[in-house]
Amino acid sequence: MQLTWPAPNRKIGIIDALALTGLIGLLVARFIPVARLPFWGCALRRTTGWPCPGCGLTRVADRMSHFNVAGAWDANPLGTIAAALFMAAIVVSALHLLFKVPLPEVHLTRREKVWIRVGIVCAVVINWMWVAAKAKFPEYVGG
Amino acid sequence: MLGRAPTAWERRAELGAWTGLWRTWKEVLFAPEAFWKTLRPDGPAQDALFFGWLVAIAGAVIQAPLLALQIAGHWEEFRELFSTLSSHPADWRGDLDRLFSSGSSLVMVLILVAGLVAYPLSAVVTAAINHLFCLLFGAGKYGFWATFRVVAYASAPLVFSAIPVVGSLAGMWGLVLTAWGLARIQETTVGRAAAAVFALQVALCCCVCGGLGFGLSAVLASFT
Repeated sequence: MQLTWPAPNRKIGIIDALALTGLIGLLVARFIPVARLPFWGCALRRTTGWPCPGCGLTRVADRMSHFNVAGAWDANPLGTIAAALFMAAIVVSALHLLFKVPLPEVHLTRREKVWIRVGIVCAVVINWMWVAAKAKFPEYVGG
Repeated sequence: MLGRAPTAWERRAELGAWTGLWRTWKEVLFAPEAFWKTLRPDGPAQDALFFGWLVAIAGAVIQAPLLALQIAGHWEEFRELFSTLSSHPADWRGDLDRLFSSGSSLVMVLILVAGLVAYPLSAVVTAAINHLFCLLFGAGKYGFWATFRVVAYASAPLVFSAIPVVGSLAGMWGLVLTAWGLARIQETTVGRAAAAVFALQVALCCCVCGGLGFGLSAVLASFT
């Protein structure tokens, strides 16, 4: 992995776009009681009883926007990590846009890219197994 | 990047704004392969945003009266929905009643303004999520703004979004156009680009299943 640091700049890029995405999501979760809307909910879980990989993400957004990290982790661990990364992106983007703090450019080798993808897929699968186990067999996993 | 050139919309100073807009809209919808193949990844993002925004405005203008009538027709259900939410002060309900009364011009204006304000935000958010998946699937060669340009130009079918059934098909065509455009602009395979666009929907399969379920029930309801 190679990191290169550009000169101080305010060039808008993917981190700033992700920060905006996270900011909108967290503000909505903070001020709008989305989960209480009568039509809100997962059709798959309601019909089959099995959760999807994204089950609990509304609760994660709601709890993270109230800084309840433990509660968010309980709802969906990978979602909590994603929400934390979005929050980090908000801080980094603010520093970048306000104080011209340069964002490093990351260059990965082909092998590193493959390992990152494999890691993400594994994380999604393990997270789904955990969420499903909590929903279906709470007596074994303390759900 | 051989053979790539500014779009008709980006040459509006020379062609005229209306001709540029019309030709670009037509090319995106009906000749996407030729359009995406010649779209510059490093072209001005603000031009693409402006194009998408104008299309969104056209969509909102068509959508506003239809949506206002729909809301007025379903107002009893909305009233029920609001009563299940946090306790609204009683005087709010009167305001909401007036706001959503049949043919309320205020509702139309509100929908129009919301659509106009929301478009740039939704374009950035959509492009950010799509580009994140592009990076994951190795389809991000020309960076975030190339993805953003595709998302903005692929908004062309938004004009039809208000029309029942056609609107859903147009939405799906918009997704297909985005995948197609990403494949051409980021110079990757259609499979990778499609994976980047549809990954989130597939990962959160409940949304797809839910969407299909709700869509199917809406179609069935319209028959019965």
